[in-house]
Amino acid sequence: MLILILLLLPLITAIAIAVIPGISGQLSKNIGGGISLVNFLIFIYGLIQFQKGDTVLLDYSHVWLSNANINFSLSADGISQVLLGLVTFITMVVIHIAGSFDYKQSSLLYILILLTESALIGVFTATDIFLFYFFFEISLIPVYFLALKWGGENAPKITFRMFVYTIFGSLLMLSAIIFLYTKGQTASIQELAITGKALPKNVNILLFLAFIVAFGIKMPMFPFHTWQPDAYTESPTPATILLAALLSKMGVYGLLRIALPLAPIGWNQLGIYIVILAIFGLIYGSIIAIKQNNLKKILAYSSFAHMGLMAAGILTGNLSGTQGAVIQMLAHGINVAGLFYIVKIIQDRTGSRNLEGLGGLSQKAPVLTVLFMIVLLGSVALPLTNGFVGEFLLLKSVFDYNNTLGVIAGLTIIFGAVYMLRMMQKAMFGQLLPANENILDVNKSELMVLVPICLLVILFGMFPNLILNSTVEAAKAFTQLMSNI
Amino acid sequence: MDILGLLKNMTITHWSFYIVSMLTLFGALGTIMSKNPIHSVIYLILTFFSLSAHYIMLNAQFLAAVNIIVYAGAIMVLFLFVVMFLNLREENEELPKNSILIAASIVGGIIGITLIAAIRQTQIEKVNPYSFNTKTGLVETLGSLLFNKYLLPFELVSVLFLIAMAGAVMLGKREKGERHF
Amino acid sequence: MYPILFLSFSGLITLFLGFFQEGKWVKPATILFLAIASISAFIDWNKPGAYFFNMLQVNNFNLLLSLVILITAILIVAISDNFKEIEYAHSAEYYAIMQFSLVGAIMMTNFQSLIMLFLGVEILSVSMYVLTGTDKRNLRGNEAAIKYFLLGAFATGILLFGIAMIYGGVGAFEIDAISGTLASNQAQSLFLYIGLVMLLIGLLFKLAAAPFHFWTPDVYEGAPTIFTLFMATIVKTAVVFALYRILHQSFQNMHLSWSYILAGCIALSLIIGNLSAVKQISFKRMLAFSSISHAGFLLLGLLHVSKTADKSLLFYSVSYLLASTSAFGVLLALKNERTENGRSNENISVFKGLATRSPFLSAVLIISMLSLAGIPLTGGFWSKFYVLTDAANDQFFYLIVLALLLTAVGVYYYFKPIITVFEKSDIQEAITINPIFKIIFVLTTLGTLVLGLFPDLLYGMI
Repeated sequence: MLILILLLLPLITAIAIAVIPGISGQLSKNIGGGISLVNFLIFIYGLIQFQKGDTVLLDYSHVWLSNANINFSLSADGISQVLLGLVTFITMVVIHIAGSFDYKQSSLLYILILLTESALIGVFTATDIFLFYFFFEISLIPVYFLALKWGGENAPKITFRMFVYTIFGSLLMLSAIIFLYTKGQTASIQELAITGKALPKNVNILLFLAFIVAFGIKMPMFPFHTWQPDAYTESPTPATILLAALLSKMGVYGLLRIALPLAPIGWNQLGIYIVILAIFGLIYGSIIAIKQNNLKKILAYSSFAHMGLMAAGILTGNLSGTQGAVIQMLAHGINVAGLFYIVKIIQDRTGSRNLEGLGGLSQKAPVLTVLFMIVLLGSVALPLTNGFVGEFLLLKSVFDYNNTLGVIAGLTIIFGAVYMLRMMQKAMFGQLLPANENILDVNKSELMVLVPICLLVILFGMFPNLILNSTVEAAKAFTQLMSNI
Repeated sequence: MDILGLLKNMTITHWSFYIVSMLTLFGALGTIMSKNPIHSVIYLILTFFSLSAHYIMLNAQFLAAVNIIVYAGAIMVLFLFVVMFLNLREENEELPKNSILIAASIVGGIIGITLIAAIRQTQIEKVNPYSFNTKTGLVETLGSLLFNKYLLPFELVSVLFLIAMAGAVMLGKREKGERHF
Repeated sequence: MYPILFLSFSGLITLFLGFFQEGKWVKPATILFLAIASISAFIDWNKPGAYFFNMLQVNNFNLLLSLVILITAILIVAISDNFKEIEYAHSAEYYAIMQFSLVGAIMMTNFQSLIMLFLGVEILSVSMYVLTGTDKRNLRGNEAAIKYFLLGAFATGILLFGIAMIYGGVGAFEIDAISGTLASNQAQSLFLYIGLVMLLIGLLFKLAAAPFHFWTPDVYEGAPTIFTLFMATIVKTAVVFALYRILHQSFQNMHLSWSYILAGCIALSLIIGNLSAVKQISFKRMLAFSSISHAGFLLLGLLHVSKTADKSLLFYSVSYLLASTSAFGVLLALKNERTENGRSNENISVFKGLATRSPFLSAVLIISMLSLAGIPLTGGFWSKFYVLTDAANDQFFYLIVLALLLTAVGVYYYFKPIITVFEKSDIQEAITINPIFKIIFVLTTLGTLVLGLFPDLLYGMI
């Protein structure tokens, strides 16, 4: 029941803000921020109760389409809980960030952010395949409008490309889902896994490909990534954070929950090729990131590279890969939100987000530099930061799966350090440009976001067992499912 | 087969059927082949008359009469009027392109073949002249059928005619003002 | 049954109402008549049977269909204007013909005998020919009317020929007699096959399914917007259910023969409709092509003889007509924006800057476009879902994949108006909306969303 409140609270708030006339932008910011905080606290409460053994709170099921045997059933196991935490936390952060910049007609902004939260909670907890699809597709719509309305000059074209890409993938997935549904006469993901296993090999391969395309576009994974760098760059920062931190996780989550379990024979046949593609994307993204000058683009490509590694980890189908991917989803979500926010701060202060227009900012903004450094090191996967555990587990899993691939994937540590530290060095150190003489350090409102993020970076880096222990059961269930084909 | 023998065995009904059918076909071909619109219309009248003759042979006297009154009488006269008013006598029509002609003949040919095949396959039951109800096509039978079994469609046809009339009046009325795209 | 009888008389009364007080009462009276007709449908509720010597089939589902048609008609009449500003308008005739055309539409959904089907098609079509040409000073409208009339008359001729052939094969007009003959497992007369094909051609023409769609874009664009809406909603619904009754209730035993014809038409409609819509600049033309692709989807629901086909089709029709009413309604609400040569701008560019000028209208437009595109949260998604799951079987599964991929193309053109809404425009003044429009928009938009969130409300009820 609690999970339903978690889902509906942002939705109802969003509708209320939209319908009640005369709510100003400021007021809607406060309402949105308050509600997202309440939602986060509700989630924490649910988590504590869950740890105590009260698992009913995070389960809900109700008949949705009675004739079609489709249920509105939500349930959060260990993996879903991690993602729920990420969603509720990042939404809070995004609303705060959106409030600190000047966006026109901003009450619509908060409505859209809250709607996204609702949809994402649905995606990460749905146990009915049509419910999953339903949320999977609508989660993009509010973000699309966010990017369209407040994006840069080229936003209409670029966000539209993103939309058509992902819809194309989703529709391929829908045809696979309908096929499975008519074969199995059930919409429960768990029961469909049995149906999927019984299907002949060639059908299974087609299903797997359809799923891979859908989730590969969403993540994005090589070669479906062409929409991503521009979309991340042109979108306003709240939309970018939503896209990079949350929406991309839907792809990985989909691989874990849908693609592999529902088309296991297809995975068995083609998994290795997809892993190769993912590793290729990882290296490719890293190399391009080194050559970029636009801060947002660097982050976009680094994000693309990280997603490749997560996909590879899931596709290996072993325990360390699964757990590594889950913990990396959390770490990457937190880090990338922090990084995009810092870039936005820098851009606001200096008016530039190109490396040429920056440099030496550490002289004027030492606190910002320290915070930037912490988050950045988390992203580079330095030990004792949250990125390390995930990346280590992922690399281990790929190495176990195939030694050569593991070695190649290992290069990412070097590349990652190169582009990230290059960005740091060029932007924050070196010669201070005269135009940037008068910039200010972080203010209180910005600290309110960045300090918790930095704390989380260190917390999960020091105590990864917090996550590993709570996800181990769900991850084991998954690997078990995948091991006996 | 002996054609002469066949001809000898033909009854008066056969004779009249073939003659009337030939007339019908001749009229129909004339309608579409003649270049002068007025000739076309006259051929069409011929077609209608010979069709009415068919109806009479099928024991449908009322239908035959109505066909002549409505089509040959009213509609054809209107047609003639229109043709004369518009003075369509000049022969400036362009023949359709070859490709269209070919496509049309293929389509028509296929429909013709299918229909012939259907007719050949079907076994038509012969009418027993002793038990046949001779009143079948007469006004009385038709009337009672129309006002019993087919009452609803019969009445609803009036709605159709009403729409057609109202629409024709509405569309035909001349309006003030300019035309535009 | 009663709506047919009532509307035949109320149409006559409406014709005469035009004489009083310059036709001031015509529009309210029409809405009243339609409301009474909808209520009169309930007289037969739970009294199934065949009436008038097996001419009409009355059962609850058919009554529901009549209700859907009538309620849509009420919505359409409510958002059509009074024709006050056009001095040559004959509002009494328009509304009378509209009511008569509904007689035809209801006949097409409730028929038991093919004679009634033919008459219904004819009544509906003749009314549409007339209504298409009502804007007499508009040359494009005249062209559309003539085109529609010539091609439509031809299609009706083929339809009638088909009915005659079926009579030749079976010796009966009643659809249960036909299905009885087909069920008897004897070799069937070839006439039956020819007749069915011709009947299908006639009806597919009226549905605007490819390859019988050539009239659609011109007619949709040339006709006054309100009648385009009428064509896209009521005519489509009526024709689809006529097809349903023929294919699923009388020729279901010939499924093997007609399913291939249908599959071809579906593939063509989806491809032609979606791909041609991409290039359109005119909003109405775009919706015309989109209606071709929706015809393909509706036919997809007919492809497989299943128990739930009727429900799926009704759900699809309802959600489609809600979305279409919103979409065309927004165009009508913007009728006075930027006229050129005395004709309102009907290009997609008319929506420019709508987001700042009228957030309400833009929300209505966006939700209707999302529904037409089949995005979740709107009725359009579930309608596609129901139709596709009905059609899903191994034999034609490629059609479903094709349909879904072309839906992605659909997203491409349905989003063009949405993007235009957010573009900046030089005109900033707010748009005033007629309160009746507001009510209708709220109803249709809420309906679309409710169908998207709780499809069981409608689907479970049928």
